[in-house]
Amino acid sequence: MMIASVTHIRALSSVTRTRMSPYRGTVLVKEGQKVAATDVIVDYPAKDRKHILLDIRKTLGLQDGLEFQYVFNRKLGEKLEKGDVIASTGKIFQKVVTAPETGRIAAISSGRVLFEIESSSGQVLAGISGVVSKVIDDFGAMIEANGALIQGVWGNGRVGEGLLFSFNNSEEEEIQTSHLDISMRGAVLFAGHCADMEVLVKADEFRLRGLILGSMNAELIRTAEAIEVPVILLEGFGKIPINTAAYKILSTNDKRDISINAIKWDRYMGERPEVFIQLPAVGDQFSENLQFEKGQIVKLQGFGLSGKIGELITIQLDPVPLLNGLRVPAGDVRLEDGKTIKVPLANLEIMG
Amino acid sequence: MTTSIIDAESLLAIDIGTTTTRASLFDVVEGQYRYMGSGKAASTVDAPHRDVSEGLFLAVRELEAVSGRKIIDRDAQLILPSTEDGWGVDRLVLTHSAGPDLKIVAAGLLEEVSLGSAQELAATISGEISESFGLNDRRRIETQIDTILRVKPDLVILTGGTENGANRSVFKLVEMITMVCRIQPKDRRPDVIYAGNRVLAKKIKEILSKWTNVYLAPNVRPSIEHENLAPVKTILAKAVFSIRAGQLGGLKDISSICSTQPIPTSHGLGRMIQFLSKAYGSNRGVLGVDLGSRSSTTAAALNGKLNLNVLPNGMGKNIQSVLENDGISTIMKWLPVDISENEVRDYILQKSLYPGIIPNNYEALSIERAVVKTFLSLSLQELQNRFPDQVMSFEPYIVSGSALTETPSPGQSLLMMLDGLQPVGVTTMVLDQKGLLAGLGAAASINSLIPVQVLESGVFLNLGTVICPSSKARLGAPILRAKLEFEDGRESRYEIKKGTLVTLPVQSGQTAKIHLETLRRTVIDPYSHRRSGSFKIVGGVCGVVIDARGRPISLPSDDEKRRKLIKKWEISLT
Repeated sequence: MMIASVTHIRALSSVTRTRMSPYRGTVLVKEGQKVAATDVIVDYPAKDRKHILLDIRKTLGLQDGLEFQYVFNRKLGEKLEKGDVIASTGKIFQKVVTAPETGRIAAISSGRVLFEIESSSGQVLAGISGVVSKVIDDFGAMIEANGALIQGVWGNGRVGEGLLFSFNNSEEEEIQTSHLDISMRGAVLFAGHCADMEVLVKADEFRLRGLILGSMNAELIRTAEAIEVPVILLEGFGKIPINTAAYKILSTNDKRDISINAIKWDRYMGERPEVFIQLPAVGDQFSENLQFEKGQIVKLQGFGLSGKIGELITIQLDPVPLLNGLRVPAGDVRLEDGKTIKVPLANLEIMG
Repeated sequence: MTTSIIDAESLLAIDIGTTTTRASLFDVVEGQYRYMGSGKAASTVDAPHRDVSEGLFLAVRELEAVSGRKIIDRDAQLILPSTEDGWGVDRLVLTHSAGPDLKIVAAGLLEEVSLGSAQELAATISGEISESFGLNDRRRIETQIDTILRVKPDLVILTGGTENGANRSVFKLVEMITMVCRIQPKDRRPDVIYAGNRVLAKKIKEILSKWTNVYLAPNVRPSIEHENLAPVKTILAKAVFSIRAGQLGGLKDISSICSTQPIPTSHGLGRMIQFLSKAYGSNRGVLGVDLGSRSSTTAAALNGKLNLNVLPNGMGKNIQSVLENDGISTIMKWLPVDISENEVRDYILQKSLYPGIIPNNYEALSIERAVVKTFLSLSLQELQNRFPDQVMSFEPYIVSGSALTETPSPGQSLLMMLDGLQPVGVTTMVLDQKGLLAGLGAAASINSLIPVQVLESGVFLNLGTVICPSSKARLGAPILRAKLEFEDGRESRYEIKKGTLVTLPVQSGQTAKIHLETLRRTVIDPYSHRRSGSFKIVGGVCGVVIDARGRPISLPSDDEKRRKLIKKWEISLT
């Protein structure tokens, strides 16, 4: 028995996604609420919080903790505006400690106060258009939706949505700057490959809502991470066309709304970059836990194989020799061009 | 020494790695502990499982098939202890390297003293020191707090103060850590190991344990001159396991039936290398290298003194680390095929997205072999950097990791070791094919007979003796004359030229005597400056190899010539 990797490229599916913040925050949605991909689900305290340590005891010349209790009249967690009095001696020559900025009292210890300066909050976005099916108090929500789902392998960390726009005729077409113009503002484009940094720069300039690519040259990673436009790779790095199944879904859904959740693939949490096209139909649910079976459609990985799709004809769980001499569990896969090749099972993803 | 059947206990050693979970069985056969077999399966630490149990179950199932012994009952539980009809096992040990990289903050007093020791400790596990705080840190306390919050450490290693030494400065660090814990939610607070001035231990535990888990360890620096890492490593192993048990489902359940505290795979490897260095007792150290999916561990020991180092260079999840610091140039140098830099970079990045994929053709295999050589070289460089007094001459070299052990032929494993580690002098290259060293290291704490007897039984693959002379002679010049004398009286003579890789026809397990005479100011061993000598040698599966390519190995700058030469070396050792 061998546990198989699964990738989802489905024309119609019922999908549930859980969005949670890393810290306790404020959930901004209700059960039953419709959400768009870029809607905020949770607001939470920013990870880059700043603090100022106020030595009340030293500043006010206090002798001991008891004195401190008399002069300090705020509570832990209390929010204060800039200039609000935190502690004062109340004597003839009054000494006062005030809030240096707007913020809140984060900790109190030994006559010292750690003051958290209010900064921008972190946000968790929906990442998918759908309906909130359940609220998880203080942390997030579950969202359900029906539509076409395509999982990718890499994203630049952005979330977006817009109108899917097809300009190309094949899954391997390379996107050029000449394909972009200002009229594409608000559109989500898809193409086989991107090799030109200028394309990313222009996409950002023209305020595209997303770029769905089969692949991208590795040198463009930094640029892709710097722009605001969500960029998702369905196949990976190098010159790999969009796989035929994904291409079919994208090209037949031209001019529909599409959401892009271009997160980085987190195998531990099971979160992948993906695109989703909400459709007015109910789809099937799917499993993440599958075994290899003859007849399955699989997606291949490996040198010269990435992105290819085929049918699993045989499964050999006992190690067999490959052409390079390695002995591994493998399967025979009939590719879309009719050719049959032997591929390590570890290099196959079941398309479920 | 035979083992009484009455006292004998079978042992199951489990290793949970990032990509692979392995179960290995040891039991008594004819009065001696022997290795009985292994099973392995893909680790299930990631979604959708996020529980090690499934991968463990499959690994043990495979072990059952290989060994013919029933180890799991009908309820899918381990049969522990063993039954009268020989089912199950008596003892269980666990080593682990799976889980997200640990983020560690080191806090000490002096950079070269206590803080340095904290960093030494952190380097023995798979994790990174995200931030350090010392006495000379000029940042304001709130800046230090903000830095820690940004880093989100799993663990803080707090050292400082020799016995009866500074305490005010240590308490300043404690205060800073307390503030961090106060403002974090409970599940986000880092655990703390305190390994400083023992006089302060009770008070520090009292302060910090209100907020987080605190582990007390003996002072890592009882005096400025004396560093005491070993007992602190035991506490570190405990803390790391506790963190992992919180991250990975099923780990706590398995540990409850283990015979001893689970330890990081790197610690298990270190223990065995340390043991071997004492057992061999030579004036050269022993070197062990494990190249895993997420990290590489280098353990070097001489007469029981161990230097252990873990780097975030792995052949799966962290393979892209090889691209840092112009690693791509080193990889390109070692390729026997014409592939562009971009293709190599793309393959490596693709593998980082799919860490479990296997090289499907010769091109992919060549790239991965070149990465292995680069990582091996980096491991040794880093060992030398961190331990400048380390003598870089070892006997034997023992390596593990599937990229090295699961090759089309043992010759290819040997070539990767020779190219990556570039040994000098006369030494032996050994392959730990089943990844047993770490498990034996864990077993040693409950039964010291098991590692001793299992090692004696020849469980590792002896690739062969290698002779690596050093010479400044020009390429093609004769630098060595070798006379091989077999026990049956046969003799053969060889003239070895600079730049060549020569295999001598000594069968595996066959003993012979080799007489070496160097030419042109060649030395057999640059450390002992030995120029000639006779050695008893034992053939390995690759015979005996004379590597006269020089150190460091010099490769032609012409791409075509270089590829041809590397292919020639591959063929010569196949």
